[in-house]
Amino acid sequence: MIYFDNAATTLIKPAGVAEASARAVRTLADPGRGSHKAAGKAAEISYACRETAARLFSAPAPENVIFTMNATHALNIAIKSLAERGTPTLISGYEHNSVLRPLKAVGADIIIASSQPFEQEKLLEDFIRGLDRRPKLAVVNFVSNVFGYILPVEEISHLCADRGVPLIVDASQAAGHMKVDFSALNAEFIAMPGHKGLFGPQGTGILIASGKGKTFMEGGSGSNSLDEFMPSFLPDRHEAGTHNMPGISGLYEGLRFVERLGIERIRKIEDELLEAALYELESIDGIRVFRARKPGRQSAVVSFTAQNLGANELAEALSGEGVAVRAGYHCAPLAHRSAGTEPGGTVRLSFSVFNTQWEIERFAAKLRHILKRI
Amino acid sequence: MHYLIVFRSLTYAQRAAKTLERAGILSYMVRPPIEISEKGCSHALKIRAESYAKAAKLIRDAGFAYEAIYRVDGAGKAEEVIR
Repeated sequence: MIYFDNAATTLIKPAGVAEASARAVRTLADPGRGSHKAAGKAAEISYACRETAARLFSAPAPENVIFTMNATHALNIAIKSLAERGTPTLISGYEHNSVLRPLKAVGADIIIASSQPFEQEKLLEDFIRGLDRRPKLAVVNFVSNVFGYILPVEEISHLCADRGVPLIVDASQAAGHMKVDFSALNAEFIAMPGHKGLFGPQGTGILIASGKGKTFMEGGSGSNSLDEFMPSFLPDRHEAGTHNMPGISGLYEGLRFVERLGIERIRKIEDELLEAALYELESIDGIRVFRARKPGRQSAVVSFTAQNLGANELAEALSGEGVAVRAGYHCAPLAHRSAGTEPGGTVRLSFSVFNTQWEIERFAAKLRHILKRI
Repeated sequence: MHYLIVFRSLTYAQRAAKTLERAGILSYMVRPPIEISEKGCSHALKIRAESYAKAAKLIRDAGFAYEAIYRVDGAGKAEEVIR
């Protein structure tokens, strides 16, 4: 199988990830619960994972790294800490449902700053207009999961900081692919999954938190047990219940891999894959490709549509040829509204460092073959 | 005799242990006796008596949010040193 659905989850993991998870199932208990060896070992690994994440994302300290089930869980904690009914909240037109739905659920008053994909300057202008409406919160996607569009998050963070607007960053498609610097972004929260660019198992995520926040889930924390409320200190405040040690162990190996390889090298490999994919797609008649025209504005994610075949039908045909992609709305209706790709959505290719140019050439050949058959 | 530096948070205790380790002070993570753990389920670093003064200064200078420090005698009796 040629796997081009890494934006959903990475299937090919670095060596050691699966083994670490399997070893955890057999040998690790829950950190901070017992005082026996299995709990102690679990505590060492979970701390090492926090420490590595804190280093990679420039978090103030390991305790600012909170383990979650996924980025959606992390975003729910962040959003429900800062938004409630009527909170005017500024978001980009590229937010995933994991941002839009929690905001809708709490009844926030949503302001959308939008532009066509890859038009950073226009988005910034619209964001400034949005800030003039005095929002109490801003939530912005670092990279669009549909188009790979790298939003001007750093500029947006400065604008929000100047106006005292707290910022939440969704780094789901950025973490492990490009530099995500918590201290530089001056964010209240940065949310990310463990199982995409960080190569951990599914069931893992990270929330980097500046402060306490409201609790999203309450239960045992292995600390302050006589207190009937969740602890006020991080990370315990947001980590109720038994930890997913198989997940955290695997995530630790994934983080170590990203740190060893280095973000610069990862970015270089992925940029080359993106260039190869754009070259192939743009040489096929009847294909519309959504791409950045300026360098540095697109991650290793590319969406396209076919003139004579719907996105879902095309994805199914590609699956029949052994190529895994994703089609449709990608849980991001706002992005499709911004780009004008409703109805129908797009077919999305998303790469990791484990993909090759040979796979892209094979995919292009299969795509041509499918389109000829119509 | 030894000392226990008690933290409410496991993660704080772990970070403190790393700081002490970098300064050449070995510590051992333990669950403190329930009697000295006010809110229950605390985490403590056990350190040797001879390391106490240096460790206490490091912990204070680094601003670690510890709960208390106890001196524990040979019979296991704990006496609070600093709050």
